[in-house]
Amino acid sequence: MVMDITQSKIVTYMNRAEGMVHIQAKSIILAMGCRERPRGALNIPGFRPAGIFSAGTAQRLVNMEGYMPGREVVILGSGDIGLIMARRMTLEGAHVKVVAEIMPYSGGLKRNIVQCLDDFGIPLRLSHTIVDIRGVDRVEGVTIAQVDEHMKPVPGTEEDYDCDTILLSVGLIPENELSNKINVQMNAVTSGPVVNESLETNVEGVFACGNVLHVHDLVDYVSEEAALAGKNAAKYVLGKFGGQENSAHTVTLEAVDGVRYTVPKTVNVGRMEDTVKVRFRVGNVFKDSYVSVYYDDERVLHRKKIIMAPGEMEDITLDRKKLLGYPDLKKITVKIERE
Amino acid sequence: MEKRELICIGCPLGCMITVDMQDGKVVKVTGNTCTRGEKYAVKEVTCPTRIVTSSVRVSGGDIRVLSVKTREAVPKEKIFDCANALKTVKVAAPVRIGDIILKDAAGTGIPFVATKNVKSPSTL
Repeated sequence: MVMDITQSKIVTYMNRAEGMVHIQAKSIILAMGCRERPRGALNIPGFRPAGIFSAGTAQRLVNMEGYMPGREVVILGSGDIGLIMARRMTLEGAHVKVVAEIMPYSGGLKRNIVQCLDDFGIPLRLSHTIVDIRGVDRVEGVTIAQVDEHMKPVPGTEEDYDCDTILLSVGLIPENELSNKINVQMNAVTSGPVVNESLETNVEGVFACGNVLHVHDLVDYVSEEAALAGKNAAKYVLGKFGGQENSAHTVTLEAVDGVRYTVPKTVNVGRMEDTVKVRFRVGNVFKDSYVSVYYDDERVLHRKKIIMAPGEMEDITLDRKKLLGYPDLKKITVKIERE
Repeated sequence: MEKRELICIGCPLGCMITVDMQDGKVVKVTGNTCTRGEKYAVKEVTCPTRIVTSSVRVSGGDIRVLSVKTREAVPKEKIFDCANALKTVKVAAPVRIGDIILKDAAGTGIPFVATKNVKSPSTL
């Protein structure tokens, strides 16, 4: 396990065989992943009985250790791990009573809603949250209530469910404690590093990929990012990374009008590969809308999407040849347009 | 005319598909963006299938639980029968990805296969 990294790229790690070791790295790839948001971050009133698990903990218990966390289950949050655990627990003989999601839309992939909830008749209650947990030694039940547009529970909408288990699937937090130690610039939206087209952070030779960079829904994209970060770190070590001479031609990506962020945040046109994938998430559910890309004030892409949702990562592709035709370009804007 | 509303699960796009049906036959599929969507919709309203993923106990290995799946999709109404058929199955290490764990999952004719390698102490 890596305990520490320094700005001069000394990595300190520890394991059973070698004890504590310092190594001087030429390049570092940040790939620490993310952790689950715990109950303590949620402000749910009630006691602290046994039977409250994060969805990932339950997943580990069932799939790897072979234990069932409980029989009568209520799930808070509709993240993908929670949805998958709804199906998993059902197939293992548990009764999943309800999934309560505080937002008016699900945080998970559509196909998981279909195959993990709809297939088994598990209700998904949007704009609902847990307002009370009953039980002292063990969970005995929960009260869920509808929330208003300010996410405040609406009095009179409370419903009680008897259950012995609560699973929390309420978001993932990138593990950037080490990144902060070396003053990697962070993006407040993703809680991950700000990176350029090569997935390099503001600290030269330090790259980032996967869920530490921004939380993904599909592992395929994580693999693609990992390959790109690895390739660029290798180039950096071999002194073939370059691009400094072309740094004048660096374009900034701006996310506005429904687009919450973009990864990467800057593109060095001199250094980029033939194409660069720009991934982003939208901040709401958009139906029959367009993903638009502007090179300064000129609209260069206007792609219709039947539906876009916060739970599904979107992407656009930047083409090097095309960008070379805009030598004075300063800013690429990605936005959602109604028409 | 009967209308069935579906969400396509062929890819992350999740298209909203409407299937018009008459006397149990598909008349028209709308809302899909690709041909996979149409195929999925027709299948989903005539004979829906799913790949079932689950786990079995494994003895004498470096891990205690082995992840498995049906090699091909099984009829949707057989999901529970397939999952329950694994309850009594015990396997011994070593196991390799693709090994058949249960020959015939609940009379579907489709086997459960391992999706993980398990080493036994002698091969560790």
